Amino acid sequence: MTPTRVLPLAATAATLLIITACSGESVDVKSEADTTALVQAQADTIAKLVGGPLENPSTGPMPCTGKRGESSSDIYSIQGAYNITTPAGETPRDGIARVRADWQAQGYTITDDRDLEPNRGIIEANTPDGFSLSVESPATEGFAIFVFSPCFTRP
Amino acid sequence: MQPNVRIDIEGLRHTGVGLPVDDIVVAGSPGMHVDNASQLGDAGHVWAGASSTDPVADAKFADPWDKVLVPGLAPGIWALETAADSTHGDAPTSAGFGGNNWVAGTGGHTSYWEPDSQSLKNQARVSAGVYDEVTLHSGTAPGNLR
Repeated sequence: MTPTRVLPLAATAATLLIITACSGESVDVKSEADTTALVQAQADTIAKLVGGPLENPSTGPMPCTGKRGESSSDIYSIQGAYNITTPAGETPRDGIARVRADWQAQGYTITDDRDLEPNRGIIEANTPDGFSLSVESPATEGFAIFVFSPCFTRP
Repeated sequence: MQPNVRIDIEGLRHTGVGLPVDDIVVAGSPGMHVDNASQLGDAGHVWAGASSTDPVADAKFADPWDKVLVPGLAPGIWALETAADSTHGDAPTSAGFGGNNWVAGTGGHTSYWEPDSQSLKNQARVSAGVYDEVTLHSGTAPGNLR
């Protein structure tokens, strides 16, 4: 291939990439109900690891910008927020230790992991399929749990 | 989570009655018309964060050559903007201002309330009084509210 043919090819490829990014086609299609179910499943898994039921559940959609800058009114993410009471006889760090071990075994990318006093902590991670998970204990009595889905496009 | 009460800090300061708030949080501020955080009250409860790519928070310190490197912005307009921002005083994220400099982890001047961002989490932690969860570049977090 001569240089004179490479340049038009490169320009065409760049144009195609730009069109793809603007159209939102790189964001998977999924209904809000299906995404909410995935968020709930992540929260249920965390609850089992921590050892207590989810309390004060709150889930809902919010605007989302894709990894390539995709943005439109049809692109959204689901956020889930919950509380869990610290199991009797335990400290928050006990639950966080089980969460940490599971996430490491799952190959999640740990993005924050801090011990706080007294016997509290924060751990956050990203899953390979784009979910963002956060378990933190603002007080020894319990946990705040946050689950963010990746961006999806409404059908 | 976003703070649901916003106060015109500059307007209140001019009343001379002080700020009836537990904490002051600013994001991407070019300056607060004071020389240091202690002039606003308890410096431990002054929280400033800025993206490393936010030109507004950095405007006072823009070098002359920055003015010709902004695409689409005429050098003269940029110079006027920089001059105007310099009237705000030191940016509260400047070294020596005091207070707490929280980690934003976002880009530009318009992403401080981006969902799941370090910026939004840190602002929520201050609002909730869980100060020891705030990630800081500098400063010392006071004891938690509870």
